[in-house]
Amino acid sequence: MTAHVLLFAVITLISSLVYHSLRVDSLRAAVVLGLKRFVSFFLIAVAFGVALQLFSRWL
Amino acid sequence: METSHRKILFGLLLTWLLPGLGHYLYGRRAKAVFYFVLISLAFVMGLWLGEWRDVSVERFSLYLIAQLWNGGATLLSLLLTRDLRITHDITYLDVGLLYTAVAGLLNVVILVDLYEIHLKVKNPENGDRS
Repeated sequence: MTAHVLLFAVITLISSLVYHSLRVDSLRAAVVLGLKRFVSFFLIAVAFGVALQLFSRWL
Repeated sequence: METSHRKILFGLLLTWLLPGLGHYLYGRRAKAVFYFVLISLAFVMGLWLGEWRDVSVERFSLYLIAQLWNGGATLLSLLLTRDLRITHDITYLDVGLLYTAVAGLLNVVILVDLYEIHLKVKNPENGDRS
């Protein structure tokens, strides 16, 4: 399960870097922006997963 | 055929064969290397996770539609792994398929970006991105 989550994180990070490099001219700025967006997305996804787990236990 | 038309068609073909090569042709060298590294990394990781069996016409024809956008690597994989059979349960086959498919779809985005660069080089009054 943990390995699946980590692998999902890696492909999300790659996609985020490619996507932001299309939007920003500077490569350095694109990497910084891509990493920032990836971290926020991943934290939201983890929080959502934890909330779902807690909710399913409560049910 | 107009020279700029030939150049973009050649660039798109190069990008389809090897991600980033079209950007290199248009002078975006740093981005070319960046795209090549990221997309190839995703594709090779996908192949490794699927134990080199996740590019196949018979087994995963639907995934192949996405994978084929990364043409060079997919055709090479089809050629090199055509004799491999699935004889046991591959733990990360689904993740490997996802990686290779995403690599192909990311290359579609790179192709569109290259076309956009071509339009801006052709019509500089619209603003150059470099």
